[in-house]
Amino acid sequence: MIAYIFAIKCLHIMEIRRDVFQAIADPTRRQIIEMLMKQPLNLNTIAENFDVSRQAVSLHVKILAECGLVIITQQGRERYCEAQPDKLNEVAAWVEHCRRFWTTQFKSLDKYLHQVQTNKKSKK
Amino acid sequence: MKTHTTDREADFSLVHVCNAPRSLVFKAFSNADALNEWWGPVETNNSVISLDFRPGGIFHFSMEAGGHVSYGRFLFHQIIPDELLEFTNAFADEKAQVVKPPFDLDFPLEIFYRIVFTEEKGKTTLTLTGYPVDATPEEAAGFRSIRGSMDQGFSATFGQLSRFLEKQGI
Repeated sequence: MIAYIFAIKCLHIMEIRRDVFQAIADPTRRQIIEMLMKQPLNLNTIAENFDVSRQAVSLHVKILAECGLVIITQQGRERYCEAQPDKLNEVAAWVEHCRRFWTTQFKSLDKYLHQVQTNKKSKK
Repeated sequence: MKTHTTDREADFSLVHVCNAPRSLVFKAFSNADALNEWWGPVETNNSVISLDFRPGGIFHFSMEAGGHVSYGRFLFHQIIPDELLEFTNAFADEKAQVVKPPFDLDFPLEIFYRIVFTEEKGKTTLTLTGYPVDATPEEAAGFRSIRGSMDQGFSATFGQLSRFLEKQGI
């Protein structure tokens, strides 16, 4: 029950910001996305894979849905969750940006290290 | 030097080998004069404003291009000299307060980075991992309350996602 109250409170607070990065900032949500990329699953099946309460998993799925990474469809009494690969392009763009940025940083670091070590040798 | 991507347990990871001993490479990250020499985007003129190299301390730097100045910062987390460096990286204002990234691209407000330094035969391998930081402290606190015994941090694998994205030809 306490978890449920927390979930309700969190949902209220978290209406502030919704984007794909918030979706993947949490390790549980990353795992849920990975599971759903293999196949659509209902909420109970997802919850069985985690130690946390069903309510907590449900909250994560709700956030994923609000971020557009997951679509939830009601089928009878079950709620099926399906990953939305298109939305993951935003993640791919971010990862690519980081890769480019750090690759150039490391090049610059190499240049600096080379200079420092060459200077040391020439001083000797 | 060789740079290649790996399939580690994070959103973003990169491994790089430097042709220098570990202590020197670590010093390049922990010394203001050194950072002034090499840190920052190639497109901008970068200067170190301040460096407080300790957990909770901030590295504040400026990036100038065409008369326009923007700022960035590291907020240091765990530091183990010559071995490990953890920090969050964000765009900042002139007072080192976090600001939104100046891109059209959707981009996380803050990114958590961990760099592991290992040395073999005088060469240093840097293993960099990064992931977006949780959006709000309220959210993080809320989840900690209901997460129970779940491990935090790098407990999830994201390898599957990267393989998936590769398949999509992205």
